Amino acid sequence: MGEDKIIAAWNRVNPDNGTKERILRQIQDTMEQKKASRFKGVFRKFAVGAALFILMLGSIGTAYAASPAFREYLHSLLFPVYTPEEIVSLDNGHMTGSFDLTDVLLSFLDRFNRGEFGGSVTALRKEGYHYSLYRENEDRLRAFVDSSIEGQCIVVYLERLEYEETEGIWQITGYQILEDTAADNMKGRLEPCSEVSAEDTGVPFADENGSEDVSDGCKALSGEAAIYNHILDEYRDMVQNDFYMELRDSDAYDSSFGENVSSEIRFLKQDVYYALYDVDGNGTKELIIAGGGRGGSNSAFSPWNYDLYGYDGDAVVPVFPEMEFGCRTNFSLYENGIIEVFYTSSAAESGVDFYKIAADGIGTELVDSFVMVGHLEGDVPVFAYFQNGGQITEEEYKTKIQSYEVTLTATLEWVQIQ
Amino acid sequence: MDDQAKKFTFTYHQYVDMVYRLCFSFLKTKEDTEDAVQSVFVKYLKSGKKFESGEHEKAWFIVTASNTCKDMLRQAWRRNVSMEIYDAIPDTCEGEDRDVLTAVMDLPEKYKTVVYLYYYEGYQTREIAQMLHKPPSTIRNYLAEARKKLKKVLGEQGGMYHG
Repeated sequence: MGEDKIIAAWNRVNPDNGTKERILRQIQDTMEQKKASRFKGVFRKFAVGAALFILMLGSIGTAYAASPAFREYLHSLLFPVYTPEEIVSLDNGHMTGSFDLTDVLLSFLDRFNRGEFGGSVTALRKEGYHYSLYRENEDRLRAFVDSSIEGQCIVVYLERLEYEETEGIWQITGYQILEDTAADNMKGRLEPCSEVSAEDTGVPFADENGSEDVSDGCKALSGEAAIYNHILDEYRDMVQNDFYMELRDSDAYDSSFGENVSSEIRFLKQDVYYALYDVDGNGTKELIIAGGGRGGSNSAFSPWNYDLYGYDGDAVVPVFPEMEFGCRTNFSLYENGIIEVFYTSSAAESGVDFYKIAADGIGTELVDSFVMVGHLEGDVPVFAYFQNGGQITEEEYKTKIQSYEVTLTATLEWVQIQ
Repeated sequence: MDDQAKKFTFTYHQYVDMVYRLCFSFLKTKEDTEDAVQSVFVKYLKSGKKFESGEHEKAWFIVTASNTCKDMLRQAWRRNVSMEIYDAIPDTCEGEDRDVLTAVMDLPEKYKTVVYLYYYEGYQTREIAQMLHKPPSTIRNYLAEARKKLKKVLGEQGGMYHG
């Protein structure tokens, strides 16, 4: 529908070379100014800290008796509990903002360990970071992260900001290094996040020991589900080897992935999950591989499906051997064994096919097929709707598709592959 | 110029047109657009972000540009400013192009990014959904609604689809 005109119109909006150069100079100036103001900020923090310290000395007795927070602070200075710095506020906290709390925290810890914030302490990384989350209120959390120094931990302050049409965006607002005893005192004043629902943050929560309670992604499946272990092993190897990113430019890259690893999941490093669900109700659960976000704007955890495997009695087989699932083509599971495969093949064509696993448990049977095709009639864009090749109305198209989309009554239990 | 500065200059020239267009669709004035573009690239520099691929980097610029503009539009003083977008469109954009661009920029905010990414950048609805953290069905609905609105507006202005 006039998309060439839309493109042509947009092309007129490109900035001219003079504008580009002017913006570039402004960016360079801004960066120079920020370097300078950072020094000013450090000096200001030092001055404020010194003034506070003098004031505290003046009324130390009263304050010590009256304020647990003050006692904690004083202990930190005298023993010392904190690092010499006060809580370090991050002026660029918004840069790590994301809808995914875990993503924000782990990105921050990566940067922290690269020394971007100074200091010699690093977050302990041994088969991942070890942390537990505590809640100050619904929009403020603190992550207590094990550090590389025995007896000390890193407390990371996280805050959720309102963001249009979402459940909010998480940002890091500061951090501090605490001795474990002080950290335990602090935890005592907070609420463990195990009591926060997953909907509040969109992430699985750490237990008291800091291990995520969604899963033990290293355990092999047992019982009937063990038939899928070799596939999960391939995905686990990919996850544990950072999606083979280090080999990306080498000839060995493609062959690093297991043969069952979905081709589309390889390109984007992400959390990977699996779930077992008996799609066709034959008593053998199918394996669903998924990846991506943890909730985001959705209240329910709903990762992006990448693959679906079944068991034909002898071997594990992909339910759709001819299809690659990812961004352009994907599938959803619905009640009554319905598998919806949807795709967009161009700006003007998209389709939805509904399948069921065949009665013999091998392959699939097409139940219904819907296509929407757009074209121009003269100057007017017109969309045509088809069901199994026969034209239907837009209303019929929508109604018929919706009739298949009956939400699963069972909840898929996603387990993170780690 | 050191290597880092060279790399940034290269990245800047690689994405500045796209970021500018996207910001312009939200902010509608040249001055605000330049501010937003500047802000996006400063964020890029400060973040020190490492990208897994060119596509990943491009997606980051799209999302950051979009969020930056929304942040600017949320500021209270801006909400009270009535902007005449016809004056803001570049002088080089005339006739039919001008009408089409005006119609696109008149779309509600939530549709504009989707229309731009779909038609101009060539992303599929599923990709846009992932990028904007919205369900694919929402993106499809946005596109459908945007198409209807464009058709209506352009139609009312008389024969905007011919050519």
